[in-house]
Amino acid sequence: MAHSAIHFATGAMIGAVMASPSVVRTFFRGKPLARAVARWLLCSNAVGLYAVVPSVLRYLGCPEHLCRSKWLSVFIFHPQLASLHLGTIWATAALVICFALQYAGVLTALAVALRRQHLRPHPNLAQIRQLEGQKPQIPRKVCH
Amino acid sequence: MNQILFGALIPFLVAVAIYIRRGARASFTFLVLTPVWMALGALYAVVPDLPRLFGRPDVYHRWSHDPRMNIFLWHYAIDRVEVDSSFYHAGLIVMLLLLLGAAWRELYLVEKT
Repeated sequence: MAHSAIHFATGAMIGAVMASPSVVRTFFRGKPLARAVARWLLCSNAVGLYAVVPSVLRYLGCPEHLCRSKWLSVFIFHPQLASLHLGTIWATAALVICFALQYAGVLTALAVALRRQHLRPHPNLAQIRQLEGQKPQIPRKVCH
Repeated sequence: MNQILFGALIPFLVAVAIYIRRGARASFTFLVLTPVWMALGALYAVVPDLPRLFGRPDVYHRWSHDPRMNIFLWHYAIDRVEVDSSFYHAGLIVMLLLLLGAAWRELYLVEKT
């Protein structure tokens, strides 16, 4: 039996690939990325959780013949992955790679947002230009 | 697994303290460096296990019975009481999700201003 973390990581990666076109579309339209990235993360982790459903069923005491049946392939190839007999090290590696992918995605979006913020004109730019155009007012000397 | 979690937990807690002290804001550099430090901490905690990965079981067995391996974040002491549990993976997932949450919050705040 493969570790649940491998099922989660596989599901999360498939979820991330499924939801990435929406983020790419939002990026090219120049719209804020936070909501699209949140949806991408939610979709990715939801598919990851969906992939561990058979492991949860087994933990809850579901009969073994049901947990090994072929129809469980609908849960992101659960029986096929389980037959690989991957251990804790592979499970940890899969989790870390899955996280690194998601984190890199969020950081890329943050870098894009910071760049856009840097390039955005100052909200009071018109007022600043107007003030720059005015002559500086020298205070009059007061003669006694 | 629990050594990996323990090794990553120390830099994570330091980062949480800094994050709270800065008023729950994080710079881009901070968000890049935190997981790097966590990975280095986790790697340092499993140094005595590395010979097994590199095909040197003799060195691995010699080191696993050496109490001096406690310099790698109490690796020897943890090995004596270690039990394999899914909760370590759950703990690692929670930690990584909190990190993701902090990065996403920063993205949201940058776009809001």
